[in-house]
Amino acid sequence: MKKQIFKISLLTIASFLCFSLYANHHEKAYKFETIAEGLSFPWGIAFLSNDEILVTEKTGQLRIIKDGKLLEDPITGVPDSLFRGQGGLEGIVLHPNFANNKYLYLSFSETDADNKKTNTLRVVRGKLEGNSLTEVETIFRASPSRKTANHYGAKMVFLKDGTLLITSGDGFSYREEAQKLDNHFGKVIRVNDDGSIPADNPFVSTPGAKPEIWSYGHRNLQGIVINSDGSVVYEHEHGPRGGDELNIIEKGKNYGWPAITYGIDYSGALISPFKEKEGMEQPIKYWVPSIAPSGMTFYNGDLFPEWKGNLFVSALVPGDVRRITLVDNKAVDEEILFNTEGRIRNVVSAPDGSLVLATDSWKGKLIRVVPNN
Amino acid sequence: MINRIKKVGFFLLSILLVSFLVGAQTTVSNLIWLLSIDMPVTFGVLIASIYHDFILMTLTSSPPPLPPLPLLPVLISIGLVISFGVTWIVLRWIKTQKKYAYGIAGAVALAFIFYLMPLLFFGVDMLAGARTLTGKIILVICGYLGGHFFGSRLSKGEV
Repeated sequence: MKKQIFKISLLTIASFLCFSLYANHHEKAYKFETIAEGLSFPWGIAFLSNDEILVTEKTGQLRIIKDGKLLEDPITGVPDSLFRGQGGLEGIVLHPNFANNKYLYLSFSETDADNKKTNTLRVVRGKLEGNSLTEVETIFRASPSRKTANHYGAKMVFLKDGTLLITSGDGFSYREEAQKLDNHFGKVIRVNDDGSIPADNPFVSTPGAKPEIWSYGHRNLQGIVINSDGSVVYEHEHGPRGGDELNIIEKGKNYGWPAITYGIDYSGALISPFKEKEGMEQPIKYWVPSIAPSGMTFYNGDLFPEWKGNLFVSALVPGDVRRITLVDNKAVDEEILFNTEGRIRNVVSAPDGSLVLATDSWKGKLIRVVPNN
Repeated sequence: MINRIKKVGFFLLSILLVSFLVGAQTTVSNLIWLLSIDMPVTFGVLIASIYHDFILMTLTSSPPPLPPLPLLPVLISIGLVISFGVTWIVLRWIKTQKKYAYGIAGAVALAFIFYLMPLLFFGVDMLAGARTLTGKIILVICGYLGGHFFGSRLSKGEV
């Protein structure tokens, strides 16, 4: 009996030792440094330099963090946005030639001027001069408007040819429109940097089609990035109950929503009994149950060499970041990281190779992830 | 006592009936759209989908963060309790056939549920079948049928 108690005790101690060694190993990989606190639903992040960061707050302000300090005054000249439901001031991206032309692009939901009951997704560009946004002009306005305040998409990325991709969500109640080309619901949009339409867009000569459309059949696209050489566009979108997707976006392709999906409706109803169909693209990864993917970055920094070439996807539910290992454009592995900070609204790569997370709350934070040594 | 148990039984059956009809309406409306874009919807797919939706919408608890209850029948039962309660009071003064009175009560309950839903969810109809006017009318008819069933059972047994 005594021998047995001794054996059990020894086993327990050994297990604890192993666990703490394992935990220590993982703790040592990275640490968190809070960059800023007190942001109201931080959403989009853009780096003017490593220590000068622009952040959109969903409540409508564009803020600057300079040398680790959140400046009190927001940037002036930012258009009013509709802060309701899932809407507000959302995406931000700098022009590839920002150093010279000072253009930045903002995406946000906006109440229609002629009908206060409807709203839409709008993208503007303006010049950042000191603490002001000047020469603001509309680059894109999604059409038609919607009654709902959900599923805007509102993420942006510049391609290496200088054109801008904009994600435009399906508006929740208009999901079937994602399969039609005469509207902007559930689409990836491609425009030139001044909002004009590139001549090589896939549907410019299709009768009745919106010429800005680059791909279609999407739901609520909240992550769009390109790889290090700009040859591949990765996009992720929220599914309903299950069926969040990670896709590779290609010109003119149909991504299937809502005709094919791995998710079901919130009510429990089938949206479609079909998961695949010829002519409709399959995701390179999907999540059931949903993780609510909210942002994404392609990591190409030097601070974490072992993470180079990986995708990082922030997730609102349960609140973490997924490191996706890619091999030949296939998602072959997934690691759950940073699951101690609650809902993560966005993850971006900083110029110095650190990762920056935005937490999703009225008292949101920007957190820098750096190596622990 | 037996009458009361019977009434509760009929009430539960009417909730089940309305939930099934509401679920089936959503299923069919989804499948009609899928057919319109040439998806291979067969009779087998129809039956399997109706069965799936009945199980998931009516008999299965909602996932977190929603409360662990089958939300559709819970919502419908709240609506029917209120409207049937009002009808029971009204019927003490107005003489009319119960099946019609409770039928109208069921219809009104469903109309209120689908009117209130978008107000609570930023303009969103959480039930896909309720997104169009035609869909809403059909759902109100489903409510009428549930109430009619309840009223006619009460009349038949005089409970």
